[in-house]
Amino acid sequence: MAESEYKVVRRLEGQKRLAGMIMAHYGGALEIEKNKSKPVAWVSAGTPAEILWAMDFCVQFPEAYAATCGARHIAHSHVEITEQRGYEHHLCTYCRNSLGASISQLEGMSQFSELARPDFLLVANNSCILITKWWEHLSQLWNIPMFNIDCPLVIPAYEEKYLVDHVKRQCLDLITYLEEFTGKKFDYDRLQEIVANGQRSSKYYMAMLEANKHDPVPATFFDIMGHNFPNLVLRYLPETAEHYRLMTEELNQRIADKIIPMSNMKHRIYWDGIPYWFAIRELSEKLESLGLCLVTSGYFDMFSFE
Amino acid sequence: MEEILATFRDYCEKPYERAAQIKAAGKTKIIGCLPMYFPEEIIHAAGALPVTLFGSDDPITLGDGHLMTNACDQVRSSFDSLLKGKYDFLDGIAAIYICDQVRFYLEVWQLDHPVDFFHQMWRPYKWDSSTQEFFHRELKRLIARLEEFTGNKITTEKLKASIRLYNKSRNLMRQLNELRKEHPGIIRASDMACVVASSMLLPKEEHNELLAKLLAQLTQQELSAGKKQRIIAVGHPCSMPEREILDMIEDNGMLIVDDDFFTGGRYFSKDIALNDDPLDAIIDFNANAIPCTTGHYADAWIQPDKIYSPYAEYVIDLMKHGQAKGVVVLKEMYCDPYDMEFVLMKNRFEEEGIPYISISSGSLEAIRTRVQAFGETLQFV
Amino acid sequence: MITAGIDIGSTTTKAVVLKADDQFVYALQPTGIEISSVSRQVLAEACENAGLQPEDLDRIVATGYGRISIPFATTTITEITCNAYGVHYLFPNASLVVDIGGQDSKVIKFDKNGRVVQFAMNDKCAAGTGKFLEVAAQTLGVPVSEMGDISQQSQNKVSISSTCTVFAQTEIVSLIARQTNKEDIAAGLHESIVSRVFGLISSVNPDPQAEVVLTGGVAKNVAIVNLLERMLGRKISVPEDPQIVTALGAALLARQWES
Repeated sequence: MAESEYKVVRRLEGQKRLAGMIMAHYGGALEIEKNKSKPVAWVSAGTPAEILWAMDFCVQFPEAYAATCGARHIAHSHVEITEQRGYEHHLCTYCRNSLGASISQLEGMSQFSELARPDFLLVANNSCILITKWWEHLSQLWNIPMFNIDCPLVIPAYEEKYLVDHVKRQCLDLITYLEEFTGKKFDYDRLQEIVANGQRSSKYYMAMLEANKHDPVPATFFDIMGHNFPNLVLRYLPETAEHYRLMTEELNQRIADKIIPMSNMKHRIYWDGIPYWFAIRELSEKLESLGLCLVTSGYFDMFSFE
Repeated sequence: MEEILATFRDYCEKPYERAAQIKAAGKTKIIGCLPMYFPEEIIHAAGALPVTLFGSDDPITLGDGHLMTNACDQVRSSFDSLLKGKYDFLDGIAAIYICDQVRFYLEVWQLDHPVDFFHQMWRPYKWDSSTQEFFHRELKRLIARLEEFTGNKITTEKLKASIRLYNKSRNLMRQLNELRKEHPGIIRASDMACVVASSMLLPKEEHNELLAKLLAQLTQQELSAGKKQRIIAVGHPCSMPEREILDMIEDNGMLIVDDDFFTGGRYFSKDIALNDDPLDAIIDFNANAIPCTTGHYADAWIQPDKIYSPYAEYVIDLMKHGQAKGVVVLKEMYCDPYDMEFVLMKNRFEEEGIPYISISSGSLEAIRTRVQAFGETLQFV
Repeated sequence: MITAGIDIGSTTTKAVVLKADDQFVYALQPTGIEISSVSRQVLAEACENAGLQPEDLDRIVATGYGRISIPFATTTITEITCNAYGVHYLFPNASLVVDIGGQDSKVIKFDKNGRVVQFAMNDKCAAGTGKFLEVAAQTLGVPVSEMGDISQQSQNKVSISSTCTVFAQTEIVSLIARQTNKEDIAAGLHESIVSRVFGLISSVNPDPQAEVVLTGGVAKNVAIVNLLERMLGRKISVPEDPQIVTALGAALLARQWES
């Protein structure tokens, strides 16, 4: 490509909006905790959090929080606390980080803004089974109930109908339990609405990821990956779909205006697996200095709730 | 008696020799089962021989080119054995997605070294009524595949007969364990592990006969009560503990009176009921087995004032019943569920003032120091 | 009764001869590879210092990692039991000992009779041991005995993120390449060791009021003592000869030994 045709602008307009959404989420949850206006649930990424939103829970995601702690370079102190309590150092870092953060919070030694204290825990073992153990330990630390949704691997040998039945049965059990827990009747219309919001959020989220198919890309993936947060944590809100619609618009506008995120783009590369949250900046600078442009990652497609 | 024990040891030294002989004789299909919890009775009912795959003690070389080194020894060593042709006597392999290691690394097995008959099945991690229907379906899928593979129909009657045979085996092993509790030292822990492990390698019919002989000879033995401390040993939920370490424990002032090893109590402590519906009985058996650290016992976690670690409570009970003074925990390196549960268990030991020691990897000398020091502490308790 | 304790550590072999009047003398030598002959020599030397012959010894307890290779020992007792007992003898009010040896480090909680209640050992790798310091000193090109003093001159401590000895060595090399002061590197190394040891201490849930004693060769390093005191928030006691406490414990336990 002829460099001169293109203008390099790194910063995306949508970053500020994202920062606002994240702040509002964490801050809002702490406000809710203080006023006791809603019950707080901590859930794993692979759970039907829609059921909790439909029951008007404030929902927090320890995995996303652990990633944030990694990016803010405070995971290390959490991990040390956990290891001092007897956890082996080879256990999952998300888990050690999260348990360390909870121990810090309970013992009043947090060094970082906290998650709102939980009343209920929900987990699904579709990512791994260690996560159920992790949640059991959270349940023990906070002395609150937890609910696990058991998810078989999706392999060709299984008929989808039976997989769905299996998970659905447990979702209904969860609803029955939550009706008792909150003293409120479950509102299926509200669930319908929330599921629709989530589907719309993910649809626009995937559209945003699609924009990077263009060569040259309008943004490096380092600039986009943080936008996974609303798709997971805030997918139930109508604003989230709007955020991605605006993001997609911005990216497509950049393509039209021939705006690229970095000069010296020699190769387009793909990132497999979980990002190194603790060294995103260093990694980004290093790749850029080598003329390597990270354009996408399959890890982020996994979080589609379409 | 020494002669029979030597036979059991021999089977453990050459774990697949007997199965390979049977295979060579022609008629029986041999199915290797990855630990643990595989319903061997169903394979037996299909007229095939289930053999537990323990990997081998050899250094892992080929396997490391395929699996990451944070895979547990069990998975790495077994895959290494497969690549090296040590499992060539098998007609097929069967496994339950027992943990993350098995569940994710089996994909690598399949991609890098495909095997014709490789039956993988799911067993719930969450134990309550909601997960049983799918498990039932999985058992039926297993039956259908085995019938197709062996050409033998698995009738209810055949399955019940297999369950009866396996119950008999478990019963004999329980008798041996009871004898050990009454007369600690009557059989060394390392021999006990060999007895149980060999039952997973031989046809149960042969093993039962051999074990009955051993029991008859043992009961006639007179034993002098020494000054050694009674302890229980737990851990190795899906592998065989190193015999050197078991011997080391018993050579340093302690006697193992009970255990929950895969090659121990975990394998034989309960029977499968002889119900009209054997599949329901198998499900019940799994749901009520010794608490497994991979399991989530849903009812305990949804209520306040729950028992935080059903496994820890089980171990504490085991200790009380064995009138043991302490617990030796033998951890399998990189067994994540066990390492997680261990923290809850250790906290409970500390609450109850139970002396314990945990041993994972390390040089044999370093382990000797810990073991001997633990024996020394127990003498003061 | 005259007894001896002989502690065959990975780096140094120590012998203590304990006379009937509770007086004790000691000798020590690098362990090397001839464990049995070195032990004989060290023991003979300790006897000589005491004005005795090896034949005068009623009982000998061997301890330390080489304990099983001593044919002339009456019995073997682990360094864990011996160390706690020796510390208890010297510091009757103490209930926790941190021993940083050449190849491992350990934390032992013991009762008012000097009996071990719980212990934790780092024996899987050299992180948090004397070996770590030794390898680092070599890489920095300074004598290991001066490492503590050098680290205390640091103005701007760097943080060493690798706890693995081999990786830490690589990290030191790259710090040297970036012209970091050796004082600052040494300070970072000391902190790394002490934080490992601190983790080990936490794992035995020590009584917050417990008197803590530091033993082992590394206890002679002032910087380690200071750092550990700061981390624990209390004074630490260090015996005059921190290396020989385990051998002393062995000699004391030899008195009580019943066949």
